Amino acid sequence: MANSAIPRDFLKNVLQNGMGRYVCQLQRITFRFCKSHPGSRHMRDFVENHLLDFTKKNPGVVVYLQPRRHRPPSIVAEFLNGRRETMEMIGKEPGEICKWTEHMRGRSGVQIVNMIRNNHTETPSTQGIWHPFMFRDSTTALAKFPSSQYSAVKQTGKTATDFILEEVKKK
Amino acid sequence: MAAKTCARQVMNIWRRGQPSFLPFKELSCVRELSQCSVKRPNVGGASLHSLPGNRFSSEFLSVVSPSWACLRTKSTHEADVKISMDLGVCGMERLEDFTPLADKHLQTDVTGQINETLEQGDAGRLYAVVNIRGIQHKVTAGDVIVVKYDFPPNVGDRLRLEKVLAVGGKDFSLIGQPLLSRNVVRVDATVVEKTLSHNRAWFVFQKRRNFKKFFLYREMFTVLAINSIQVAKLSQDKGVQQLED
Repeated sequence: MANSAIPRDFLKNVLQNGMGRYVCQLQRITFRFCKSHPGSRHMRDFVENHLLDFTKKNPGVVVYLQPRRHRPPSIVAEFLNGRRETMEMIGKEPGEICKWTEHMRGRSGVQIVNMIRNNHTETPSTQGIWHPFMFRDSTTALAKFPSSQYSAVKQTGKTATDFILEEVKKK
Repeated sequence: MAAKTCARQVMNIWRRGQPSFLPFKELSCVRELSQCSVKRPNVGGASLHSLPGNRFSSEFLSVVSPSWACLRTKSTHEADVKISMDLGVCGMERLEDFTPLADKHLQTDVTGQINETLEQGDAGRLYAVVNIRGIQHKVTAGDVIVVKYDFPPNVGDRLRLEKVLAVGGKDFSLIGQPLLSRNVVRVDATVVEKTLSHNRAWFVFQKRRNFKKFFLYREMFTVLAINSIQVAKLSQDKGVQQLED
Protein backbone atom coordinates (compact mmCIF):
# COMPACT_ATOMS: atom_id res chain seq x y z
CA MET A 1 0.00 0.00 0.00
CA ALA A 2 1.95 2.99 1.28
CA ASN A 3 5.18 1.03 1.09
CA SER A 4 4.82 0.33 -2.60
CA ALA A 5 4.49 4.05 -3.33
CA ILE A 6 8.04 4.69 -2.13
CA PRO A 7 10.48 3.26 -4.67
CA ARG A 8 12.67 0.62 -3.08
CA ASP A 9 14.88 -2.17 -4.26
CA PHE A 10 17.27 -4.84 -3.01
CA LEU A 11 20.99 -4.24 -2.98
CA LYS A 12 22.63 -5.13 -6.29
CA ASN A 13 26.13 -5.89 -7.45
CA VAL A 14 26.23 -5.21 -11.17
CA LEU A 15 27.39 -8.37 -13.00
CA GLN A 16 29.27 -9.67 -9.91
CA ASN A 17 31.72 -6.79 -10.10
CA GLY A 18 34.73 -7.30 -7.86
CA MET A 19 34.53 -11.08 -7.79
CA GLY A 20 37.27 -11.41 -10.37
CA ARG A 21 38.42 -7.93 -11.27
CA TYR A 22 36.86 -4.63 -10.29
CA VAL A 23 35.58 -2.67 -13.29
CA CYS A 24 34.73 1.00 -12.99
CA GLN A 25 31.08 1.33 -13.87
CA LEU A 26 31.31 4.91 -15.07
CA GLN A 27 31.49 4.83 -18.86
CA ARG A 28 31.60 8.50 -19.79
CA ILE A 29 31.18 11.84 -18.13
CA THR A 30 30.20 15.11 -19.84
CA PHE A 31 30.91 18.52 -18.36
CA ARG A 32 28.44 21.08 -19.65
CA PHE A 33 29.08 24.79 -19.15
CA CYS A 34 28.77 28.21 -20.74
CA LYS A 35 31.93 29.91 -21.95
CA SER A 36 30.86 33.36 -20.93
CA HIS A 37 28.10 33.31 -18.33
CA PRO A 38 29.31 33.97 -14.74
CA GLY A 39 27.29 31.02 -13.44
CA SER A 40 29.78 28.65 -15.11
CA ARG A 41 32.76 30.38 -13.55
CA HIS A 42 33.50 27.57 -11.10
CA MET A 43 33.00 24.92 -13.75
CA ARG A 44 35.49 26.66 -16.04
CA ASP A 45 37.90 26.85 -13.13
CA PHE A 46 37.48 23.13 -12.58
CA VAL A 47 38.04 22.31 -16.24
CA GLU A 48 41.22 24.38 -16.30
CA ASN A 49 42.77 23.21 -13.01
CA HIS A 50 41.30 19.92 -11.78
CA LEU A 51 39.95 17.97 -14.72
CA LEU A 52 43.27 16.57 -15.96
CA ASP A 53 44.01 15.05 -12.51
CA PHE A 54 40.76 13.13 -12.76
CA THR A 55 41.44 11.95 -16.31
CA LYS A 56 44.95 10.78 -15.43
CA LYS A 57 43.67 8.77 -12.47
CA ASN A 58 40.82 7.25 -14.49
CA PRO A 59 42.00 6.43 -18.02
CA GLY A 60 39.03 4.11 -18.49
CA VAL A 61 36.47 6.90 -18.22
CA VAL A 62 35.74 8.94 -21.37
CA VAL A 63 35.50 12.66 -20.68
CA TYR A 64 33.57 15.11 -22.87
CA LEU A 65 33.36 18.86 -22.58
CA GLN A 66 30.20 20.40 -23.94
CA PRO A 67 30.04 24.20 -24.03
CA ARG A 68 26.43 25.36 -24.18
CA ARG A 69 25.66 29.04 -24.56
CA HIS A 70 23.52 30.73 -21.88
CA ARG A 71 22.91 27.43 -20.04
CA PRO A 72 23.81 26.55 -16.45
CA PRO A 73 26.70 24.18 -15.72
CA SER A 74 26.03 20.51 -15.12
CA ILE A 75 27.62 17.07 -15.34
CA VAL A 76 26.14 14.05 -17.04
CA ALA A 77 27.39 10.62 -16.07
CA GLU A 78 26.64 7.57 -18.17
CA PHE A 79 27.15 4.10 -16.74
CA LEU A 80 27.85 0.70 -18.19
CA ASN A 81 24.32 -0.49 -17.49
CA GLY A 82 23.00 2.29 -19.76
CA ARG A 83 21.68 4.62 -17.09
CA ARG A 84 22.28 8.33 -17.19
CA GLU A 85 22.57 10.69 -14.24
CA THR A 86 22.52 14.45 -14.56
CA MET A 87 23.60 16.80 -11.82
CA GLU A 88 23.48 20.58 -11.74
CA MET A 89 26.62 22.36 -10.72
CA ILE A 90 25.31 25.90 -10.32
CA GLY A 91 26.86 27.60 -7.37
CA LYS A 92 29.14 24.66 -6.67
CA GLU A 93 32.79 25.50 -6.22
CA PRO A 94 35.57 23.56 -7.98
CA GLY A 95 36.25 21.47 -4.86
CA GLU A 96 32.65 20.40 -4.74
CA ILE A 97 32.60 19.62 -8.47
CA CYS A 98 35.65 17.38 -7.88
CA LYS A 99 33.78 15.56 -5.13
CA TRP A 100 30.67 14.98 -7.22
CA THR A 101 32.78 13.74 -10.12
CA GLU A 102 34.46 11.32 -7.75
CA HIS A 103 31.05 10.28 -6.46
CA MET A 104 29.94 9.43 -10.00
CA ARG A 105 33.10 7.40 -10.47
CA GLY A 106 32.41 5.37 -7.33
CA ARG A 107 28.85 4.50 -8.24
CA SER A 108 27.53 1.51 -10.04
CA GLY A 109 24.84 2.62 -12.46
CA VAL A 110 22.06 1.38 -10.22
CA GLN A 111 19.33 3.86 -9.35
CA ILE A 112 19.50 5.18 -5.81
CA VAL A 113 16.38 4.08 -4.00
CA ASN A 114 15.40 2.91 -0.54
CA MET A 115 17.48 -0.16 0.28
CA ILE A 116 15.28 -3.01 1.48
CA ARG A 117 18.15 -4.91 3.09
CA ASN A 118 21.77 -4.01 3.66
CA ASN A 119 23.04 -7.29 2.24
CA HIS A 120 22.37 -9.68 -0.61
CA THR A 121 23.35 -13.27 -1.08
CA GLU A 122 22.54 -15.92 -3.63
CA THR A 123 23.25 -18.70 -1.12
CA PRO A 124 21.65 -17.84 2.20
CA SER A 125 22.06 -21.31 3.64
CA THR A 126 25.33 -23.20 4.07
CA GLN A 127 24.33 -25.99 6.43
CA GLY A 128 20.87 -26.50 5.00
CA ILE A 129 17.64 -24.86 6.05
CA TRP A 130 16.35 -26.24 9.33
CA HIS A 131 13.31 -28.47 9.35
CA PRO A 132 11.78 -30.16 12.37
CA PHE A 133 13.26 -33.58 11.62
CA MET A 134 16.80 -32.37 11.13
CA PHE A 135 18.32 -33.30 14.47
CA ARG A 136 15.85 -35.97 15.40
CA ASP A 137 16.67 -39.64 15.43
CA SER A 138 15.13 -41.11 12.28
CA THR A 139 14.37 -44.43 14.01
CA THR A 140 11.37 -42.73 15.62
CA ALA A 141 9.69 -42.99 12.21
CA LEU A 142 9.88 -46.79 12.45
CA ALA A 143 8.91 -47.01 16.08
CA LYS A 144 5.96 -49.10 17.08
CA PHE A 145 3.92 -48.00 20.04
CA PRO A 146 3.62 -48.87 22.88
CA SER A 147 7.43 -48.74 23.06
CA SER A 148 9.46 -49.34 26.17
CA GLN A 149 12.22 -47.11 24.82
CA TYR A 150 10.12 -44.04 24.21
CA SER A 151 7.91 -44.58 27.22
CA ALA A 152 10.89 -44.78 29.57
CA VAL A 153 11.21 -42.17 32.27
CA LYS A 154 13.79 -39.56 31.26
CA GLN A 155 16.81 -39.41 33.50
CA THR A 156 16.85 -36.10 35.29
CA GLY A 157 20.23 -36.42 36.90
CA LYS A 158 21.43 -37.61 40.20
CA THR A 159 18.73 -37.65 42.83
CA ALA A 160 19.36 -37.37 46.52
CA THR A 161 18.37 -41.01 46.95
CA ASP A 162 20.99 -42.12 44.43
CA PHE A 163 23.60 -40.04 46.19
CA ILE A 164 22.81 -41.56 49.56
CA LEU A 165 22.84 -45.07 48.12
CA GLU A 166 26.26 -44.42 46.55
CA GLU A 167 27.61 -43.12 49.83
CA VAL A 168 26.27 -46.20 51.56
CA LYS A 169 27.85 -48.51 48.94
CA LYS A 170 31.21 -46.82 49.36
CA LYS A 171 31.12 -47.64 53.05
CA MET B 1 12.97 -31.71 61.49
CA ALA B 2 15.41 -34.55 61.45
CA ALA B 3 14.56 -35.26 57.80
CA LYS B 4 15.15 -31.60 56.88
CA THR B 5 18.60 -31.43 58.47
CA CYS B 6 19.48 -34.73 56.85
CA ALA B 7 18.58 -33.35 53.42
CA ARG B 8 20.55 -30.18 54.07
CA GLN B 9 23.60 -32.16 55.15
CA VAL B 10 23.32 -34.24 52.00
CA MET B 11 23.23 -31.10 49.88
CA ASN B 12 26.26 -29.70 51.68
CA ILE B 13 28.26 -32.88 51.22
CA TRP B 14 27.23 -32.92 47.62
CA ARG B 15 28.41 -29.37 47.02
CA ARG B 16 31.70 -29.89 48.75
CA GLY B 17 32.35 -33.14 46.91
CA GLN B 18 35.48 -33.47 44.79
CA PRO B 19 35.00 -32.95 41.05
CA SER B 20 36.06 -36.08 39.24
CA PHE B 21 36.78 -36.19 35.56
CA LEU B 22 35.60 -39.57 34.41
CA PRO B 23 36.07 -41.26 31.03
CA PHE B 24 33.04 -40.90 28.84
CA LYS B 25 33.34 -43.68 26.30
CA GLU B 26 29.73 -44.63 26.79
CA LEU B 27 28.36 -41.16 26.13
CA SER B 28 26.06 -41.00 23.16
CA CYS B 29 27.22 -37.47 22.34
CA VAL B 30 30.74 -38.71 21.57
CA ARG B 31 29.49 -41.26 19.06
CA GLU B 32 27.34 -38.62 17.38
CA LEU B 33 30.28 -36.23 17.33
CA SER B 34 32.29 -38.53 15.09
CA GLN B 35 29.50 -38.31 12.56
CA CYS B 36 28.95 -34.59 12.45
CA SER B 37 30.10 -31.34 14.00
CA VAL B 38 31.93 -29.99 17.01
CA LYS B 39 28.87 -28.14 18.15
CA ARG B 40 25.53 -29.54 17.25
CA PRO B 41 23.40 -26.53 16.36
CA ASN B 42 20.62 -27.46 18.69
CA VAL B 43 20.39 -24.20 20.55
CA GLY B 44 17.44 -23.95 22.84
CA GLY B 45 17.18 -27.66 23.47
CA ALA B 46 15.55 -27.90 26.87
CA SER B 47 16.46 -30.41 29.47
CA LEU B 48 15.41 -30.98 33.02
CA HIS B 49 18.78 -29.57 34.01
CA SER B 50 17.77 -26.20 32.69
CA LEU B 51 14.46 -25.89 34.53
CA PRO B 52 14.49 -22.93 36.87
CA GLY B 53 14.56 -23.86 40.49
CA ASN B 54 15.89 -27.35 39.79
CA ARG B 55 18.18 -27.86 42.73
CA PHE B 56 19.88 -30.79 41.08
CA SER B 57 20.87 -28.90 37.97
CA SER B 58 24.43 -28.78 36.70
CA GLU B 59 25.45 -25.72 38.69
CA PHE B 60 25.07 -27.64 41.92
CA LEU B 61 26.74 -30.77 40.65
CA SER B 62 30.41 -31.13 41.30
CA VAL B 63 30.55 -34.91 41.15
CA VAL B 64 29.56 -36.26 37.75
CA SER B 65 28.95 -39.79 36.63
CA PRO B 66 28.96 -41.07 33.04
CA SER B 67 25.56 -42.63 33.32
CA TRP B 68 23.97 -39.22 32.94
CA ALA B 69 24.21 -37.50 29.56
CA CYS B 70 25.71 -34.25 30.86
CA LEU B 71 29.46 -34.21 31.45
CA ARG B 72 30.60 -30.91 32.80
CA THR B 73 33.62 -29.61 34.63
CA LYS B 74 34.08 -26.18 36.14
CA SER B 75 36.33 -25.06 33.26
CA THR B 76 33.70 -26.10 30.77
CA HIS B 77 31.03 -24.21 32.63
CA GLU B 78 33.20 -21.09 32.75
CA ALA B 79 34.01 -21.35 29.05
CA ASP B 80 30.35 -21.76 28.17
CA VAL B 81 29.30 -18.77 30.24
CA LYS B 82 31.95 -16.71 28.47
CA ILE B 83 30.69 -17.82 25.06
CA SER B 84 27.05 -17.19 25.86
CA MET B 85 27.76 -13.67 27.09
CA ASP B 86 29.89 -12.76 24.09
CA LEU B 87 27.60 -14.12 21.44
CA GLY B 88 24.42 -13.14 23.24
CA VAL B 89 23.01 -16.64 23.00
CA CYS B 90 21.15 -17.48 26.15
CA GLY B 91 21.06 -20.95 27.50
CA MET B 92 24.07 -22.09 25.51
CA GLU B 93 25.96 -23.01 28.64
CA ARG B 94 23.32 -25.55 29.51
CA LEU B 95 23.53 -27.43 26.23
CA GLU B 96 24.28 -31.10 26.71
CA ASP B 97 25.39 -31.44 23.10
CA PHE B 98 28.15 -28.87 23.42
CA THR B 99 31.21 -31.05 23.66
CA PRO B 100 33.94 -29.75 25.95
CA LEU B 101 37.08 -29.12 23.92
CA ALA B 102 39.17 -29.22 27.07
CA ASP B 103 39.62 -32.94 26.47
CA LYS B 104 42.66 -33.70 24.32
CA HIS B 105 41.35 -36.91 22.80
CA LEU B 106 38.26 -35.19 21.48
CA GLN B 107 40.29 -32.24 20.23
CA THR B 108 42.57 -34.39 18.12
CA ASP B 109 39.61 -36.34 16.83
CA VAL B 110 37.73 -33.23 15.75
CA THR B 111 40.75 -31.36 14.39
CA GLY B 112 41.75 -34.49 12.48
CA GLN B 113 38.35 -34.69 10.86
CA ILE B 114 38.34 -31.00 9.98
CA ASN B 115 41.82 -31.25 8.47
CA GLU B 116 40.75 -34.27 6.45
CA THR B 117 37.79 -32.42 4.94
CA LEU B 118 40.00 -29.43 4.14
CA GLU B 119 42.68 -31.60 2.54
CA GLN B 120 40.26 -33.48 0.36
CA GLY B 121 38.55 -30.25 -0.65
CA ASP B 122 35.22 -31.45 0.73
CA ALA B 123 34.67 -28.38 2.86
CA GLY B 124 32.43 -26.86 0.21
CA ARG B 125 30.90 -23.45 0.65
CA LEU B 126 32.06 -21.74 3.84
CA TYR B 127 30.25 -19.10 5.82
CA ALA B 128 31.77 -16.60 8.20
CA VAL B 129 30.39 -14.24 10.80
CA VAL B 130 32.25 -10.99 10.36
CA ASN B 131 32.22 -7.83 12.46
CA ILE B 132 32.69 -4.56 10.57
CA ARG B 133 32.58 -1.44 12.70
CA GLY B 134 30.30 -3.03 15.23
CA ILE B 135 27.84 -4.54 12.77
CA GLN B 136 27.97 -8.30 12.30
CA HIS B 137 27.16 -10.04 9.04
CA LYS B 138 26.96 -13.68 8.12
CA VAL B 139 28.75 -13.82 4.78
CA THR B 140 29.68 -16.34 2.13
CA ALA B 141 31.71 -15.97 -1.01
CA GLY B 142 29.87 -13.95 -3.62
CA ASP B 143 27.53 -11.93 -1.50
CA VAL B 144 27.41 -8.17 -1.00
CA ILE B 145 27.12 -6.21 2.22
CA VAL B 146 26.81 -2.54 3.04
CA VAL B 147 29.01 -0.54 5.38
CA LYS B 148 27.25 2.61 6.44
CA TYR B 149 28.76 6.09 6.71
CA ASP B 150 32.19 7.27 5.65
CA PHE B 151 34.53 4.32 5.05
CA PRO B 152 38.17 5.09 4.14
CA PRO B 153 38.88 2.38 1.52
CA ASN B 154 38.41 3.48 -2.09
CA VAL B 155 36.46 1.84 -4.85
CA GLY B 156 38.30 -1.19 -6.19
CA ASP B 157 40.43 -1.80 -3.08
CA ARG B 158 40.90 -5.34 -1.87
CA LEU B 159 40.29 -5.75 1.84
CA ARG B 160 40.87 -8.45 4.37
CA LEU B 161 38.15 -8.59 7.03
CA GLU B 162 39.99 -9.16 10.28
CA LYS B 163 37.29 -9.60 12.89
CA VAL B 164 35.90 -13.04 12.24
CA LEU B 165 33.72 -14.45 15.00
CA ALA B 166 32.87 -17.77 13.47
CA VAL B 167 33.51 -19.73 10.33
CA GLY B 168 32.06 -22.98 9.16
CA GLY B 169 30.96 -25.26 6.42
CA LYS B 170 28.41 -27.98 6.05
CA ASP B 171 30.15 -30.33 8.46
CA PHE B 172 32.03 -28.17 10.91
CA SER B 173 32.03 -24.80 12.62
CA LEU B 174 34.82 -22.93 14.30
CA ILE B 175 33.56 -20.48 16.86
CA GLY B 176 35.85 -17.86 18.29
CA GLN B 177 35.90 -16.67 21.87
CA PRO B 178 35.01 -14.06 20.68
CA LEU B 179 37.33 -13.77 17.66
CA LEU B 180 39.19 -16.32 15.59
CA SER B 181 42.89 -16.04 14.93
CA ARG B 182 44.25 -14.56 11.68
CA ASN B 183 46.16 -17.74 11.11
CA VAL B 184 43.01 -19.83 11.05
CA VAL B 185 40.66 -17.94 8.77
CA ARG B 186 40.92 -15.40 5.97
CA VAL B 187 38.02 -13.41 4.54
CA ASP B 188 38.71 -11.30 1.44
CA ALA B 189 36.46 -8.56 0.13
CA THR B 190 36.47 -5.87 -2.56
CA VAL B 191 35.01 -2.40 -2.38
CA VAL B 192 32.57 -2.32 -5.23
CA GLU B 193 30.66 0.93 -4.83
CA LYS B 194 30.64 4.12 -2.80
CA THR B 195 27.44 6.12 -3.03
CA LEU B 196 24.89 8.09 -1.13
CA SER B 197 21.65 6.74 0.19
CA HIS B 198 18.26 7.91 -1.02
CA ASN B 199 16.90 11.11 0.48
CA ARG B 200 15.83 10.49 4.02
CA ALA B 201 13.59 12.90 5.89
CA TRP B 202 14.25 14.20 9.34
CA PHE B 203 11.04 15.62 10.72
CA VAL B 204 10.26 16.73 14.27
CA PHE B 205 6.89 18.16 15.21
CA GLN B 206 5.41 19.26 18.52
CA LYS B 207 1.76 20.06 18.54
CA ARG B 208 0.37 23.39 19.65
CA ARG B 209 3.86 24.82 20.11
CA ASN B 210 4.61 26.11 16.66
CA PHE B 211 7.62 23.82 16.54
CA LYS B 212 8.67 21.77 13.57
CA LYS B 213 11.90 20.92 11.83
CA PHE B 214 12.32 19.30 8.50
CA PHE B 215 15.35 18.54 6.45
CA LEU B 216 16.47 15.94 3.95
CA TYR B 217 19.74 14.12 4.31
CA ARG B 218 21.72 11.47 2.48
CA GLU B 219 24.14 9.07 4.13
CA MET B 220 27.30 7.73 2.60
CA PHE B 221 27.61 3.99 2.28
CA THR B 222 30.05 1.51 0.83
CA VAL B 223 29.21 -1.79 -0.82
CA LEU B 224 31.60 -4.68 -0.22
CA ALA B 225 31.60 -7.87 -2.26
CA ILE B 226 32.98 -10.88 -0.42
CA ASN B 227 35.53 -12.64 -2.61
CA SER B 228 36.54 -15.71 -0.63
CA ILE B 229 36.68 -17.38 2.74
CA GLN B 230 39.61 -19.64 3.51
CA VAL B 231 40.25 -21.84 6.53
CA ALA B 232 43.71 -23.12 7.38
CA LYS B 233 44.43 -26.61 8.59
CA LEU B 234 44.45 -26.87 12.34
CA SER B 235 47.43 -28.16 14.26
CA GLN B 236 46.76 -31.32 16.24
CA ASP B 237 49.15 -30.37 19.03
CA LYS B 238 48.22 -26.82 19.85
CA GLY B 239 44.66 -27.35 20.98
CA VAL B 240 42.02 -24.71 21.46
CA GLN B 241 44.54 -21.86 21.86
CA GLN B 242 45.32 -21.83 18.14
CA LEU B 243 41.83 -20.54 17.42
CA GLU B 244 42.31 -17.54 19.66
CA ASP B 245 44.00 -14.28 18.85
